[in-house]
Amino acid sequence: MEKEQFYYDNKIVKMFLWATILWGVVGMLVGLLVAFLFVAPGLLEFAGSDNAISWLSFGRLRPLHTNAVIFAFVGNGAFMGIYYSTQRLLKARMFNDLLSRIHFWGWQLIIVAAAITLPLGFNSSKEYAELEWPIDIWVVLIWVVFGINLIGTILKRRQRHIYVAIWFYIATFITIAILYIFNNLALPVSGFKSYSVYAGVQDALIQWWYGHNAVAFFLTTPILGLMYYFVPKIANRPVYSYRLSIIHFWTLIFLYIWAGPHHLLYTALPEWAQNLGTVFSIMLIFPSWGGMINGLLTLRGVWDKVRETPELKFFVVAITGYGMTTFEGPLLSFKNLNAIGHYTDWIIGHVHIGTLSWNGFMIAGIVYWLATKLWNTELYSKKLANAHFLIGTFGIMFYAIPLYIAGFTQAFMWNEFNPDGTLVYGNFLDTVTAIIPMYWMRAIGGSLYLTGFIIMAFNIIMTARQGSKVEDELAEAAPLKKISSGRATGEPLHSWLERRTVLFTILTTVAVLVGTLVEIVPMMLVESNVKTIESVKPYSPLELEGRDLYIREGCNNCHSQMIRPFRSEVARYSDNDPELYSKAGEFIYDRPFLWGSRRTGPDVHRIGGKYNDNWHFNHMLDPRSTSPGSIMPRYTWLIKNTLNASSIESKLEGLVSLGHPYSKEEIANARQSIATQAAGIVENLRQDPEFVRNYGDQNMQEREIIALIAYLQRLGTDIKADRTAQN
Amino acid sequence: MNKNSENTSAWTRFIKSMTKAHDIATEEDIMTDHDYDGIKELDNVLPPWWLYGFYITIVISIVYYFFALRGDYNQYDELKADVVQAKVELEAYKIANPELFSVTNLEVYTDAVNLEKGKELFASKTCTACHLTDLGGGIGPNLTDDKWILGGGMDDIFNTISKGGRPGKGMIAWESSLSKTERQQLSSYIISMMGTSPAAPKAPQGDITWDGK
Repeated sequence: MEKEQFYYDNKIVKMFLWATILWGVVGMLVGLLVAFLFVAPGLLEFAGSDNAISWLSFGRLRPLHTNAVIFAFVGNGAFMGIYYSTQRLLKARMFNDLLSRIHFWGWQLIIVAAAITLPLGFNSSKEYAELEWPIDIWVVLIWVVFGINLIGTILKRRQRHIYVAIWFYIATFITIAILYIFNNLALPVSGFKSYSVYAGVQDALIQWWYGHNAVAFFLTTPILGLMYYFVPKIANRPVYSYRLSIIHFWTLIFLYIWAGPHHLLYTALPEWAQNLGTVFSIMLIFPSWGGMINGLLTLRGVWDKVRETPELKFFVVAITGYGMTTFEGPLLSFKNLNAIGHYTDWIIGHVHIGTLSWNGFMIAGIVYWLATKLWNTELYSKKLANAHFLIGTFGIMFYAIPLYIAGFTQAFMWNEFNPDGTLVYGNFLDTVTAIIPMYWMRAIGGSLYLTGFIIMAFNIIMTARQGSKVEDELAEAAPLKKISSGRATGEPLHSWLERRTVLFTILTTVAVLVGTLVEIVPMMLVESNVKTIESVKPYSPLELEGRDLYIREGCNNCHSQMIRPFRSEVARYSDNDPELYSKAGEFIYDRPFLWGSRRTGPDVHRIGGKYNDNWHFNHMLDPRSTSPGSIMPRYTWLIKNTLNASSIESKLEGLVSLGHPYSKEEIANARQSIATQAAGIVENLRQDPEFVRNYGDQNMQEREIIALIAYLQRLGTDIKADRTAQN
Repeated sequence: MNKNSENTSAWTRFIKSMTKAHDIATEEDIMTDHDYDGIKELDNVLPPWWLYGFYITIVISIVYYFFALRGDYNQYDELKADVVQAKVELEAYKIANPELFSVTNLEVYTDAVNLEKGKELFASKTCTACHLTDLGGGIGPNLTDDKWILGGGMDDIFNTISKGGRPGKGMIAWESSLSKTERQQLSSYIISMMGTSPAAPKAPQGDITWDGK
């Protein structure tokens, strides 16, 4: 058949390339900033220490960092590679230019919206899904635009079979859509505030089903797809094994989705689910490594070329890093290793090996190569690219190794007992100050990595300036002849599937739904998974407002609310009462759950009643005054701001519709209840003469700090009433 | 072929049998007819080490889950066992070192070294946050006057430090993180500060009078 001429859309690739570089610099800069907050907590107090700036506090900047590097940097980087490779692998221009533009600008708008709303404190607290509901809806719309564009291109392709890279792109689109929608299901109660439709343990399971698979299907599968295009392309070598591609693709997407509960080992999540998380993580090692060896062995025979090609050097370190993290992850899923690593900096180190090497270096290699194609020229400086590679590799090591040391140090300090049964480091702060040197090293490592990245940005700008743009690249290919959709005699099954793209997409969906349904449906329906505790009651209106402030300030970024059933944890956090580890039934009114994933500060699940109201007041005003050496930010604005409880009725009504037992009277009297409870707390605060001297003449019962104190004093106390009743 | 294998070491033969990678020189034999934008695909067999590894992890997983179903990894039983074990060890330690645990005949230190240590603890253990550096009181009561909420004197002060203040008032129990000697040093330091004149003394609190005699 006669060949058709058409043009590849290079302009859209270029747009994503610049966005990748821009957001990479921004996201890493924010990361570096929060890294320095560990060693200099007052760094951003530009307006003086008694006038801390809310939107520059760690709890608000940390989600900005994670969202920026994941969705802005890696997201744009993945789209850059996908738009370039998809067109060529399918021998077709993207389905629709307008959709491509909507996708690009719509995605940038999400990022800008995130960069504004997260520092303002609009967040749902769920990690890597912090954006509030209006932005969530926008994210889904843009994702669907991307999906239509991808699938539309697949349908109008001139290549009979779809290549393994396209399989991974399909899995990415389908799974992220499912994950994002179901994890973010929430009931809006005002313009930028919503409550998760799931509570407590269920919310935790959904969140980590999402969180784990965001790593799988946003940070892994699209990049594997890119690997399958760019590694053989740049190395000019055939892919090592087609059948390995098939096996590792299907096993990877089928097994990955089950592994989420390994983020919740030793928590109040029922153990049947925890153990599923463990075993599916173990089974994931070889499917992940299948990708690694298929990438590395494709370079068989051209290792001399790797030495001279910066792009390939980046790929080798990236793929090796991928192999390391995907081995370490399953190891951390064993309960005994998880008991050490969970809540420590080991996890932060682990994650950054994955992101800095696998994501960052794959994207860097692709950017260097694409620049030469998009501007039809040589790279401005190979030397600078090599320098980037070296500095970046050192950066990764300087980043990760200190955090491994910090993680182990802290875990052992948390768990160490004296022979007389007391904790050796009873003061949590001892375990923080011990690892400050490691935080310095980490900040240096991060600086190195960012320096390398900026060198790349310069190199690419110079390359673009010396080249000439090729916005539409001419290509030609014959259109597909119509053939029977049935399987021809002798046609291998998978080969047949590769031309039945709709069926392929459906099977991919089925593969990721199996694990999802088996884990989530019983957790929602079987009551024995969350044993009821009679004395656990919903939060009072003031406590609820306080809880929403806790979420707004991102306290959960540093404080867990999950006392694991360890002797050292009940000793430290539950007054040495071995019955008082955190129980599933205590969280049924928690929307969202706030178990946290890292203990930069101590657990706070049973902080209620441990200190008096004055202690909390002074601690928020200046953490160093009550806890010398603390690296917590000052929350001076909580003491100055008036609590905005204007949507308390709609909050309570929303929670009633989700099943919380607030009566009509309680809702009608919510404001009165807030005033009464607040007055009681202010009365307590007035016991401190210093408080009376400084704030005695102010309207303190209306301040935000009062609501937060109310919440903190309620935390973890309900269960004790139940025990008193029983005794 | 035979000649070749005689010349290779056992290790090389083992590696070869575990990877089964086709020779690059003759790779055209296993080349598929795929061509995606110039990308070709070989069809090497699944490396045996990889495949066996995968099988092994599946077997480990099944065995692991079977034991888990039997309750072998029950985290709450683990805690119970840990607590029992700790109790046994602590009892043995108590019997071997009775003097570390007895709360009768507590010693009031008056020597400079122990009082200095007590002063250091008072600052480093954050007592100053509530009682202030000069013990004049703030969130917590004034410790320099003769009125006491939970009683003055070595036994009562030591007991308050050990067991914590009244519930909900904020003073935690220090016996889980301070040794007996340290608690004696702290108590002695507080006693030594009786009758001093803090900058802004808080009004006396408590019904128990003890003037240090």
